[in-house]
Amino acid sequence: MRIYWIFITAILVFTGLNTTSSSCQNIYGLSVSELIERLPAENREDQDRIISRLAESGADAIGLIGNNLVAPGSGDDVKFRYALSGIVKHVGQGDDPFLKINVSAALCKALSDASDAEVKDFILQELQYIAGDEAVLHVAPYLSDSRLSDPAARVMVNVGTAHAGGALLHFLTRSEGEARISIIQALGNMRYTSAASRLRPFAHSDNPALKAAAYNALAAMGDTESAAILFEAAKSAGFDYEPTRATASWLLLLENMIANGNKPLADKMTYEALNSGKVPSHTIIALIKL
Amino acid sequence: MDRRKFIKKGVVSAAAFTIVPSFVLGGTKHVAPSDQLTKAIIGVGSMGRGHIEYDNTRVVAICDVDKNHIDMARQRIPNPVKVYHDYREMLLNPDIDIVHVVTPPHWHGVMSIDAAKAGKDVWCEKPMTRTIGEGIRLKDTIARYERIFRLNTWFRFRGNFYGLGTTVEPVKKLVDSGMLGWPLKFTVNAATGFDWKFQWVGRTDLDVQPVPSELDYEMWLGPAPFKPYHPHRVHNTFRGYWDYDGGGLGDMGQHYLDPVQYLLGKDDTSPVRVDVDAPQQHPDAAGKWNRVELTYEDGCKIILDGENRDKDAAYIEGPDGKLFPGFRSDIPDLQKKLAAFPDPEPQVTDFSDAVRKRKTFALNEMNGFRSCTLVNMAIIAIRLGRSLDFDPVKCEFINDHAANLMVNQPMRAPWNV
Repeated sequence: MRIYWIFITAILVFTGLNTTSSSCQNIYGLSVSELIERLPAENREDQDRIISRLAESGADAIGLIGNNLVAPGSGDDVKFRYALSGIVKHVGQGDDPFLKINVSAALCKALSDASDAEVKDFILQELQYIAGDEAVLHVAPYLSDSRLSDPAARVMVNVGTAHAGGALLHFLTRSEGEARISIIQALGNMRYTSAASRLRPFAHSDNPALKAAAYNALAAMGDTESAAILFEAAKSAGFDYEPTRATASWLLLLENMIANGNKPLADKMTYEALNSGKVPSHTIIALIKL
Repeated sequence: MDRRKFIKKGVVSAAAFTIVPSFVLGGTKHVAPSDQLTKAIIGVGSMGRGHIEYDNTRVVAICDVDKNHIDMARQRIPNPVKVYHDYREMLLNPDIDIVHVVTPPHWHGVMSIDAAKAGKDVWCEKPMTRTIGEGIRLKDTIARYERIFRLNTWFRFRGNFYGLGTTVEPVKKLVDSGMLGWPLKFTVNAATGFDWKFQWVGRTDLDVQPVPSELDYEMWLGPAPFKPYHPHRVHNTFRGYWDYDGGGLGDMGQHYLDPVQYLLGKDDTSPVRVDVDAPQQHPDAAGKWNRVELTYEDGCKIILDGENRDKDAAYIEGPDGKLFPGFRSDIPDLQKKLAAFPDPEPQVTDFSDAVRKRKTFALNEMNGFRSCTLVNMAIIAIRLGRSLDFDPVKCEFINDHAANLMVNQPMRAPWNV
């Protein structure tokens, strides 16, 4: 009888310990698949521990996740999406540069291995939080892809290096339509001034969206050599709003020219506009405040 | 010569050649002969149609990417209106004084900025912008073009706000009196009268469905990343997706938190830290969260209690007293003591009058940016699953690369701010 109670007590203690640990799981010794099975984490502590382990597994974890991602409506990959996003957000904090590069490289491999465009899109959307120069060569080919140019361009903007700018520039003439517009906008967002001379011709495009992207990018770069182009575009718009946002881009260019020490030319253009007597009041106010 | 003097001189010179309207440099805005201000509404879904009667202004134009919305709005507007599919074309209409932006939040920044650049005044739905970076650009643009901006929430100046059972005015008077002491802790939960509306979470199992013929889905997405169409992504349920909003917190947060910011007198700053307790979040679908704590540099705190953990919480708790819903307090003879203190400063609460007289509205682009930043800080911490330190001057997170990428998110071309 005594042995019986000892046995029962031992079971209860063991069960109790297990119950206690269910909200604070002992994850050591679990495989990558078992870790992923425990997602989404119910609380921050579990998230930290499970995701840290997955991140440390690097290529193994990312490879398994990548293989299990599917297009929307083609199956259940929810846990794998939690896993990938969790790893990226964890590593994206940026306090472990080596781990960040390691995970980024593994994501690039998963990107290459994926066959479905929506899966590639998901990987690119996540990659933007951790990508560095190591990702540029792998992501660049998607810049000319009409479906994936936008997420690929986002990655390049967030990488933000000369290497990324060079890749955007390389694919500028190898792309068309919306892909080209995404590239131009990304070059502007990066303020990649080396691209200015290649962008100026697009400011004369018949495509309003392409023209608008070129105006804004050249203005963001503070490209003084575009001053006449943007002035004429703003003048054609009556120095007011119109869908290509020529006037807003011209004002942005003036602002950047002043910041870059080219105030005399900015003032000359401003005065010329005002002398035309055709500048609407809100634009005059904005000019005064530059 | 100083640039501003130089340009003003240019303006005077220009005036010699042309007629410069009286409102050019800080004067009053032109008022239509009918003396009734005109407005255009972008987004005439259920929320947008509610704007038709706002403020006794006359609707002259409506814009939507869903033909059904247009049809329903036309039935509610007594006078003829111009109908637009693309808001950029609508902004060319010189007959519009005010543009109401009543779209999902991922459009708020782009459209409000374009409207300001077109010389329009702006009435924008909350939350002001989906990212902190867009908010910075919007407030700067409104200031640069000297437009009048209001955000569509009002509890800092009018009405009983939610379950608190009092208007803000006596609460402001109490806080300013110092009777509660300092620093203060605000708790926003069901016990204090606020519902975080977790029914507005996203779904993680969306398949791909055909886009209905009445909807221009490409234009509905606009600056947001492309995702295959599913009806749960759009109209009403869009709130459950990070690309367009931020669940109940994104949608209701500024309603609830803007008055707190006003009460604390923190309209020109932001918290220095956000702590979060939440389950892991899906990359696409907004989920539930448990608790968020926003802490200011002086120790004041705002508690967003999503699971109603603090059932007996005071709305405001200070070292010297507490305030509960219904203006109940543990301070004896509170009303009597409060009578000795001055009323809060009056606010500009008539938007049409603000537009005509070019006065800054009570809830404007500056304080609206700050209260929206409370919401966006919380959303970023929830999405990342970690506490974050924030620099309220630079408006960026400290030592967190991913968090700062969420402050400034690239837009899908050709949209940009």
